[in-house]
Amino acid sequence: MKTAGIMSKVGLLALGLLALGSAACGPQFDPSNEVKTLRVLGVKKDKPYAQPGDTVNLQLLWHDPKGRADADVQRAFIGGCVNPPGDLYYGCFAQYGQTGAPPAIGVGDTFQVTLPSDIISSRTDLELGQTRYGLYIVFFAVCAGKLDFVELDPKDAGSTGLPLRCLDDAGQPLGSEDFVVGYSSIYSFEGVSNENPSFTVDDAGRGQYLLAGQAVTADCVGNACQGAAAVEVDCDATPERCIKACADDGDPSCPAIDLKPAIEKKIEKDEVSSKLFRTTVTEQMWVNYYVDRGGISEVRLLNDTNSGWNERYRGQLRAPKDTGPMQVWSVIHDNRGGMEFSRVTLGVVK
Amino acid sequence: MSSVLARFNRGTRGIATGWTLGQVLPLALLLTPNVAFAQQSGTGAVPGGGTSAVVKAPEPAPEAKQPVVVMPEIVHFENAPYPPEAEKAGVQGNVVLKLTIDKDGNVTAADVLEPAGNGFDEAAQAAALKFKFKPATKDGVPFAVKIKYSYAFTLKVVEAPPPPPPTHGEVDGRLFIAGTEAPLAGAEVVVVSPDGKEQRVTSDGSGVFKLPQLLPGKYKLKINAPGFDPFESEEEVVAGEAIDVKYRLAPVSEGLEITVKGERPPREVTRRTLERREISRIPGTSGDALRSLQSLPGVARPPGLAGLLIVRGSAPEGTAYFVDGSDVPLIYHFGGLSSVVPTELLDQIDFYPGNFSAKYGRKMGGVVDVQLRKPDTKCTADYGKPTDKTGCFHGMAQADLIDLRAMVQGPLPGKNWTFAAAGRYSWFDKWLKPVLESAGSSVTAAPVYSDYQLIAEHNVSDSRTSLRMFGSDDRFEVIITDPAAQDPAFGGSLRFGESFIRGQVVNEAKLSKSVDLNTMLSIGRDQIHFTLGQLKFDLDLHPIYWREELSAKVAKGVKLNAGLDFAMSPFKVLVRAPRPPRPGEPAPGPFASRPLLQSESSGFGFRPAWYVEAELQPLDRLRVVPGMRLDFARDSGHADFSPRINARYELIKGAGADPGAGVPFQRKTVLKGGAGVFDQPPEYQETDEVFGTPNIKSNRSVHYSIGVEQELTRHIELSVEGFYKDLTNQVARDPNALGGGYTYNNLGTGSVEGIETLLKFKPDERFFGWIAYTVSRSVRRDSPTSEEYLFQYDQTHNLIMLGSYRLGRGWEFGARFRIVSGPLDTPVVARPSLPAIYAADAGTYVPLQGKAFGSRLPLFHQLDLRVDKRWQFKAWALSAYLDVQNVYNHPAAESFVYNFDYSRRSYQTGIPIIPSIGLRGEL
Repeated sequence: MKTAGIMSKVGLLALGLLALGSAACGPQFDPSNEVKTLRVLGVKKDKPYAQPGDTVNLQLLWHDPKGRADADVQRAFIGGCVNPPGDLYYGCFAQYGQTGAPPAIGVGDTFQVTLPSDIISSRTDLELGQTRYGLYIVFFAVCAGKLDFVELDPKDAGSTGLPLRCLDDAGQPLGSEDFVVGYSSIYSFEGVSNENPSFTVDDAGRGQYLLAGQAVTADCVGNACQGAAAVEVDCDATPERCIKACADDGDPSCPAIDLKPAIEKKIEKDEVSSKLFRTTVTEQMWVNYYVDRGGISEVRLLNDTNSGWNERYRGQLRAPKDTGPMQVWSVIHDNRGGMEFSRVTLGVVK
Repeated sequence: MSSVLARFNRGTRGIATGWTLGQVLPLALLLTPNVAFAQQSGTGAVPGGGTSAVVKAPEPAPEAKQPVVVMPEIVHFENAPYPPEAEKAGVQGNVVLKLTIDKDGNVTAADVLEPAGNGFDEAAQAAALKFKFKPATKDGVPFAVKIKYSYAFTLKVVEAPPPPPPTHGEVDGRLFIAGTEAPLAGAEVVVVSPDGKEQRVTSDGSGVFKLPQLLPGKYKLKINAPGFDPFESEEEVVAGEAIDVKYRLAPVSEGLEITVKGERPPREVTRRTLERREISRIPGTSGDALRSLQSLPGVARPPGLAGLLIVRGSAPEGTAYFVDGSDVPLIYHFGGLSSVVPTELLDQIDFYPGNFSAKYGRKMGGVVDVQLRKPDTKCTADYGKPTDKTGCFHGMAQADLIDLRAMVQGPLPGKNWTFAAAGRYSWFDKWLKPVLESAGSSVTAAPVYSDYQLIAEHNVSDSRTSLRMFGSDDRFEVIITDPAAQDPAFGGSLRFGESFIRGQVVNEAKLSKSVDLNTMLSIGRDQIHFTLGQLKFDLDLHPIYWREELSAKVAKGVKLNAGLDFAMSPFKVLVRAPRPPRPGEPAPGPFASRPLLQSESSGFGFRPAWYVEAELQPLDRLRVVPGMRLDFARDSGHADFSPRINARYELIKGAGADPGAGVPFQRKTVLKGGAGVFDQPPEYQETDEVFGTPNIKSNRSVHYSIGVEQELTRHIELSVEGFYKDLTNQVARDPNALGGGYTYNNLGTGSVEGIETLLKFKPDERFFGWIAYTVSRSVRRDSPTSEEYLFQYDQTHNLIMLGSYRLGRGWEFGARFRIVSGPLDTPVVARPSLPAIYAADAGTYVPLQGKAFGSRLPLFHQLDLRVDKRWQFKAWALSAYLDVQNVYNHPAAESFVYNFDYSRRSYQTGIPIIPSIGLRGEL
């Protein structure tokens, strides 16, 4: 009696997993963590949870595998969206239109916003008993060309797309390979803060990785990673930083090598959820891995709200077929907007 | 000549033919003055003279004493043989001779004066020379004379002697293929005489055989033809009679027998009943009965391998599945490759695409009611020849690429008790895993299923009691070693299991001549288990179904059915899942590692229903069935009242459906239509206090349909039906105003409209097939102010052509071709410039979607072929089949898949070419 409907939904979920996993009838796209086009790897806020009136600094982490100069890649931030309807980012578009004032715009890899002091108190749409909070949304764009605002076509009214485009020298729009738009959310809860997760660093502030059990120093940690110079790897001098090339890119028979960044086991209590669920709830944390060549695991869980810290967060690295330097990024997230970056360059030898 | 001869040859039995001489009338003619012309006529044995004899009496001498002359008198007449040619030609003749008779009375010369030809002359001459006369005398003194003599040859109609009594009879036979007018040529006819002797003949190209010269008595006729069931008959041969017989032979029958209860007057607008042969032979279904439903009009093609029935634009959960009236949670095993009840155990499948009887409820779409078969205990003789005896056992075992199955049935101790037991177990996971591994798939497991059925039945003339136990078990387990970036905790062990068991009692009793009481009681257990890492869902139910229907014929043309349909179930559910976000709650992060909520609850579900229905036949050709049903759902707290009516009118009464009956065929035309209310309570999770919104009402659908069924020939029928469904109070979910989570409501609406066409060739012993075409449109609206959109499973066009032909000698070949509108997809659109936006906090891309289900993938088309071969041995039969799905390996687009930032996409295609081979043995 009850089971038919439940069965069909749960059964479809399970079958969907089978369908997703089965490679027999589906295409093979490049893994999302192989950075082969212009990519934004993260936007870090110095205060992921900020108080009303706080100033928050944002740092962009992006990478262009074509190695174009900074001057050829436009980066911009758009701020000023406060408490959009439904907490939905595209609710900001109407807001921008309504205020009549241009939103706050910044260029470059960093941006600073100041939360209105009434960001929480001005909310009238919260029901009695609900946690009171405010939301500030910042948009960003990275364009290997010239950024341009788009006059929205009436037929696109209600569109959830950001009215920005990126044009090349000939004035033609560039696509996803050379243009990224996105948004970052800054929450404000009364008296609640959130620190960013962090890598374990030495006294000199250097991060560390274990590559096949061997310690390797990170190129950079944190904001310094944006624009950090490429690192030359001398495999004679630092053999622990080098790995053997695989016979072919993506060769599954090539042995995987463990790469594990040193991450601080700093688990914060999620105050908001703890109050909501009347039990101690910790934040969720995970690490995303990215490479510019070869392959690596996409993501590993660091802290599960229910089962706790996961020490087995190492990435499984596979070398490319060509020798030379190979960059690996680690981006730690928590589920409250916290983030941290790190990069390490490895050498690939025959 | 022939008529003359016929008179001689006439007779009914072995009449000896013969001929007799024509009566010869000798005629003495006076040839010369010196010759006394004499006329003789004879009587009796002495042939008399003919009318042509002229005899002149001598003239008396004047006054002188005249001498006394006595003419010669024949004392010996020689019969001349009738010239054969003349007799054959039926020619008669008269020869005038001049006979010279000496004084001794001997004929010394016979000259022909007037010939008759045709051999008569010679014959007459020869015979005349043998005449002997008493010589002519003059005053007592013999003297020689010459006379004219007319020898007549006449064919005499002689009364044939009474024919001897007939001693033999004859059988003239003609053989046909049963159900047709097609002659059966080349069949061996063995005639066994009363004394046991055998005679063999073969039917000719017209199916004709003759058995002449049979002595009277009882003869056994045994007819054998390859690919046909042996036939036997006893005929009484009577002397002097020829019996005309006509026999119709049916093609070889298989162990499974399914009777078509087509003669039950319908209580609904449309009931599509599939016969055994159709069920087990539709290409592309591997002989699975319930998969054959997907080839019927009004049933949309499900996506990929999904075992779903999408009926007239309704959601899959809108169709109910019953096994003899007891609800079952699943009709297909995982992947839709096989149904939960094997074909061998089925008696019949009734499928109602809409406007069904008040007997069924709680669903808006369609109804599939499967009836389990009565155990087969009929005995067969050598080579599977049917006999009238019962009390025998049967067995079956089958293996194919998917599963292994076996069945046994036979009598039980105790009078009139029989049983059937069957089981099935899948094994394709054993060979699929290496295939997936070699394809580089990260999922290298396949579902495992089993099902079992046990039936014990008692049948007497006015009641049937059946005890059953049946169940099914499906399991699937996979280890996800590499979680996707979107959900890092979505990994580890995924386990999914579903099982159900039913213990059922069915009783059909005839309380009186006009009152029937049908009872069904079933008790069971349904279990669902789902785990993924820490996530868990366990549902344990003990459903109890009770159906009771009293049918009474209260007057001529009036039958009332009243019944109850109770569904009850104590249940326990345990859910450990991320708590759904509450309105205003900030985005809680990746799904799987959200704070978990464990909820355990138990309760008692109760959904009773009562219905009453009248089957009215105010006119011989008109049948109207009004009914009403009252449902209550304890979980939603709502009651639903559903009135319904349907009608069938035989505009032109059909006749002569059976060609063997000798009645001229009259095409039947039936008009049909109906309207009714069909309510479906909300799903459990939609009214749950934690996960849903309590107190929402049932979904409602009003069905309207009108159609016509037209017989075109004895075998071909065309059915066209238009339907419209008005959907109101549809359960929809509304995103909360503050984001996060949903609230359920009854603001949804929709409609479905379409036309189904079915051109069907009713199964005969050679062929079955049909062409089904459905055009339809199914739309929904989530609220009065929201935009209308095409329903997820909408399929504008659905054309299916299939057929299966018995080639003879145990071979059968079938094909199915389908053309169906492509599936709907919600497109990702690059507006105004990019197809996705990067959500930096989560590290993932959010697609910019166009209108829900606003684009359609390319047309689906597929060809499936099937070949069967059966060998009938003395004590058992072996069958083999090859069923190939997607013969030309068309990569049908089932959905789009995108890369990480939705900048590239490709089709996710459906199944490639899949051959399935099976072997089956039957006793």
